[in-house]
Amino acid sequence: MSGVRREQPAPGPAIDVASALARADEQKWSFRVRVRRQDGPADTRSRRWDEFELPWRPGLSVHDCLEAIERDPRTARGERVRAPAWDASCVEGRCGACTMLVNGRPRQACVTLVDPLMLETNAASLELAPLSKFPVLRDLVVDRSSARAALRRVKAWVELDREPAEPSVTPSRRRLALAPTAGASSPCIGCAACLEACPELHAGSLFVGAASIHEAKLAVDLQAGSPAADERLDALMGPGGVAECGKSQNCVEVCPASLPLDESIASVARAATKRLFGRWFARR
Amino acid sequence: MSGSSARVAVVGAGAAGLAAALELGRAGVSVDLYSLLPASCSPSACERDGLGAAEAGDEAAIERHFLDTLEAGGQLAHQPPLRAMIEAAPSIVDELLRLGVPFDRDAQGALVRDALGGATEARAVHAGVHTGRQLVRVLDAQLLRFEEQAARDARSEPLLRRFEHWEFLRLVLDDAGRAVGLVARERSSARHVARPYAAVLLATGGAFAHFARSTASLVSHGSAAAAVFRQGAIFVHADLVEEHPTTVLVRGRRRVVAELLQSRGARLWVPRDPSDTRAPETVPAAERRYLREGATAQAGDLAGRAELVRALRAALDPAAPQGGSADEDRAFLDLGGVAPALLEAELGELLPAHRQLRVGPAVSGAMGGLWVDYEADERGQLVEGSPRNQATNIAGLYAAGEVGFQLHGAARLGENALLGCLYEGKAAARAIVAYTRSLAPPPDALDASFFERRAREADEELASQGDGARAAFELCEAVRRCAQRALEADGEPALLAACAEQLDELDARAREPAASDAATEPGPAASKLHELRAMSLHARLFLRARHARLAAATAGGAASPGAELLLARASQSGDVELVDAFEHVAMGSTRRVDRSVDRRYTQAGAAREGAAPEAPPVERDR
Ligand SMILES: Cc1cc2nc3c(=O)[nH]c(=O)nc-3n(C[C@H](O)[C@H](O)[C@H](O)COP(=O)(O)OP(=O)(O)OC[C@H]3O[C@@H](n4cnc5c(N)ncnc54)[C@H](O)[C@@H]3O)c2cc1C
Ligand code: SF4
Ligand code: FES
Repeated sequence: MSGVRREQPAPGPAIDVASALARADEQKWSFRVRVRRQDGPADTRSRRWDEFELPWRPGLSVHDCLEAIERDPRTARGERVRAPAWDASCVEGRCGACTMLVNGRPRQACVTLVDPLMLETNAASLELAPLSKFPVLRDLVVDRSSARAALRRVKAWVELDREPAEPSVTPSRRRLALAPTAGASSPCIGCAACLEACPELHAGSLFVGAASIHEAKLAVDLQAGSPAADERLDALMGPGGVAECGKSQNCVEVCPASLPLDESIASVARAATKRLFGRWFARR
Repeated sequence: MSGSSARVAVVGAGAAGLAAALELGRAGVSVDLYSLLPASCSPSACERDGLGAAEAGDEAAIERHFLDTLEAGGQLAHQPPLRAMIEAAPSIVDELLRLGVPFDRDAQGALVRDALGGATEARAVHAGVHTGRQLVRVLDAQLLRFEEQAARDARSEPLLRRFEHWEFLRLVLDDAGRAVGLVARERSSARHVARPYAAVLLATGGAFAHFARSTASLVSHGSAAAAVFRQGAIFVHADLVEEHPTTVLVRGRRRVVAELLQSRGARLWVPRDPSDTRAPETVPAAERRYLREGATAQAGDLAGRAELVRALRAALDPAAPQGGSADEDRAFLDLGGVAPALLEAELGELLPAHRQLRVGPAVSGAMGGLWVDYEADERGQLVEGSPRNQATNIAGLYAAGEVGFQLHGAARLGENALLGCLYEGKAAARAIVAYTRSLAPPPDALDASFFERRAREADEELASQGDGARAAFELCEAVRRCAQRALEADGEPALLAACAEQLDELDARAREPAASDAATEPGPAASKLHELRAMSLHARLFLRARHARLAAATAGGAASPGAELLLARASQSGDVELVDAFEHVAMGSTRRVDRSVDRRYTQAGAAREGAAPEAPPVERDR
């Protein structure tokens, strides 16, 4: 998976994490957190890493680490620095604000626990960086508004002014939500992890990404057969649309809402093909 | 930058702010939407409870929804706007359906309606436990269109501009005390700007992060409300908070467990013997005391939420550290009867194998808030679209959502939280359209340098305040513990007084820049200090109001009718002062607003039926 390239190795204290965790009660030990820094928007010259050392506690999350650093922003070398900035709101994994690269993979800092990560790498260290596909505003904070631009391109909304006047519940809508637990699963929380993880999304690519295709699909389903839905399909067939998906499945793997993004993309591709044929036959 | 503007600033991108921006955009008014984080991260997006709404046209059901709300709120809600919200609810739900919110349906396709705590019938619609998320998602999607559409008045500017990662600092007031713009800080660069606006709407959500046991998000510090309070806005009922009976402690933080679970099979219980410390799954049913809220309660259950919370609080372990440990929670949700899919969606890995979830109460919302006006006729019918609706006592400043007080009274039905935000957002938008029309021809433009000076003042303040982040953290915690203790000191004046004293001292420390932490660089730490000051102000407001209510209760028994609202404002010296009335200038005429609750709707109803009004006649002065 794509992620930040390590600019210098981050060995961390020499320690066997598994046995340290096993003996956790008896022994105090610390671990290191490397944080990518940038002082302001577009201030790329100020990019650097800061390394902090924190006392280990059971059950720490990445968010807890950042809070601990914020309280006493001193590097492992004892140098006092500005506290790293990161976004957080709900601190319960529901809002997506805290999505960042943890050891190179997009995750939600508030629900990502430190112990399993260190066990995974068997290193008493973590590396935190901002999402790489969005402009950095400061440290770990990025501007995710380009995700909204993608939603605009595929017109991922319902057009009330373009639907016929009708009773509030149409048969098509009823079909959509027939399963008694239809609402139980979470919708997209807008965390942008799928965009970060997608190999087709890079500088120079037009691909709108999984989240906007999924959202557009919901709008298409809701207004099936209307000119508004057809316009959306047209947008999804154009440059940057479903055809650019390389089926890497990375999006499905990282989506915290466990959305069936691959199915949405496939279903839009099918609908788009059908519409293409429909148009082709109509022309003859 | 020109010195006057036809644009409107909406501050806050939760349910209320989004609903307002959408309504303003539809009316062709151009909007700048400010928020600390993108809309998808707002507390509204995390809200689990659904929306209560009668079936369209079912007058009897509308009446019951209205009465349930009044009852739950201790008859402290202003009736005209409440009635308007209840009547608007069916059409609000209908619009959300059409915009694509997948409310739960049964196998026949009919909407599933649940009875949440305090409701006499099942009327709340849910999109699983993600109602807030779905609602924010569809409203936000509607706003996407405005970002491309050009504003009617200034063709080159889009109808909607977003300022995410921006912090509202304060209003820009003209000589007449009218809000003509705002000062905001770009958080990433600590840059300040002052921009002119025709009107400003605050939709910044509730302030309740100042309690140790709370489910507050990191944006619920109430810094915006604190700022306008200092600039003269009146605050109502600062001592009233919402407490959620079922919250769990996860890694040191409290989170809400959806009320929906209780409507779908979960049962709340405490051990009959308060000293019982056995593992919950080993306590036999006969030794459990089941508690249930609302009219659906069974024999032996409790009726109101306040009573329920009191019972749960009594069941807390007094020896456990306050707010800091799950072990103090001695109540359990028996989840055996809930559908596994719903449990998985709501609890995931928090779900214990034995299905007995340890829960306890925590502050989950603010009930008090900024005072807002409205216009109503003698029968208590709201005048829709009046520029007075949702207006604060500062001309040009409007408020909607949890930041204000009017709809709920002393406690809020879970099913009315998001509903109230959507209703007020729309109402505020309509009022602002009327207000900005009344400004035509626009008042003399203040020149651009006036705004420039306001921005530079903010720069100077920031430069002089230093960093002090570490001290701020310690103070934050001290303030939160102090406010929590005061909250739990039900009816103990001595304890309250001690808390007040401690808070005064903390507040004084919060005001002085920490000398030891010499300024490094402004940035997040500066915002932290700003938040601390806000939290400490809200805590002081809370204490003052709490104290006054206690004093009134001991002096005159129950609160005397006609003097029920607790009104607070900032005194000349910047302190909190409680007032009995204030002069309000609305659209050119001055009125005196006192502490009474507006009950004209039920009074008119009683008169219609020829019966004598039940409550003593109060307040006609709005
Ligand atoms: C986890 C959780 C559970 C909840 N559970 C319940 C419940 O069970 N029952 C219930 O009744 N209520 C509950 N609530 C409260 C309910 O969500 C709120 O009543 C409602 O969502 C408030 O909506 P709002 O539109 O007023 O503001 P919010 O959704 O709170 O949005 C506030 C907005 O203002 C912005 N903002 C704040 N300050 C500033 C500033 N200084 N400058 C710029 N922008 C600012 C924020 O970024 C945000 O966009 C819960 C809240 C949370 C977080
Ligand atoms: S689809 Fe999933 S990964 Fe992508 S933005 Fe939405 S919640 Fe995040
Ligand atoms: S802070 Fe909301 S998901 Fe992490």
